[in-house]
Amino acid sequence: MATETKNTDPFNGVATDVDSKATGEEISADSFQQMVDILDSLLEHQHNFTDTYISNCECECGGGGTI
Amino acid sequence: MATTTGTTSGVTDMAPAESVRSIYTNPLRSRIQTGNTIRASDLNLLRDFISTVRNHRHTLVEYTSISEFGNNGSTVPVNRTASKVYDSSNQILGTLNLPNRSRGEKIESIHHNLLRIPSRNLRSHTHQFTDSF
Repeated sequence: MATETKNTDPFNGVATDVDSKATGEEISADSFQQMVDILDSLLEHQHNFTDTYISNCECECGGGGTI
Repeated sequence: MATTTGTTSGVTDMAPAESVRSIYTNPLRSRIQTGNTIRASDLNLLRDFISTVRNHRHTLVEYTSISEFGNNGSTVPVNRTASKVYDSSNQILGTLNLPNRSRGEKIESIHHNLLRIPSRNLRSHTHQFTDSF
């Protein structure tokens, strides 16, 4: 059976990203809290995916199944 | 070309969200606040939180057919489904190689950044799965 590798749509968590820190730069509590927020937002998430049915068509319709 | 858009299950391979929150989120939010000293154990807990989340997966129900050919709106029962668990390992991760920090050791920018990279990769991540139908 033919197979293909696909990716889901990305899950985009909380809006605020975490900035990089340079040597000597202050690291505030907020920066670590942003990491915690990102991780917490991932505890109950889902993704969307799209299946084109190219890899297997059982209905002899030439490359895309009717669903 | 026929396509369908579906939604994966919620997170698998991880304890229920409230359990994870009680272990990681709540203690970290309590400890890491302005004016508090960040302890080595806090940083290690954050690292372990990242490690827990990065290993998550989802289940996807993949259909070989969910309707009769050429008969939109069919009421024929769903059949020939397969539940696929797919691994996220190739898509999510930055390296997570922060060594365990001990009391008295400095927490430097490099340590912050070692936690930041996998965090930001997780923030907008995808999963890869092998589609066999």
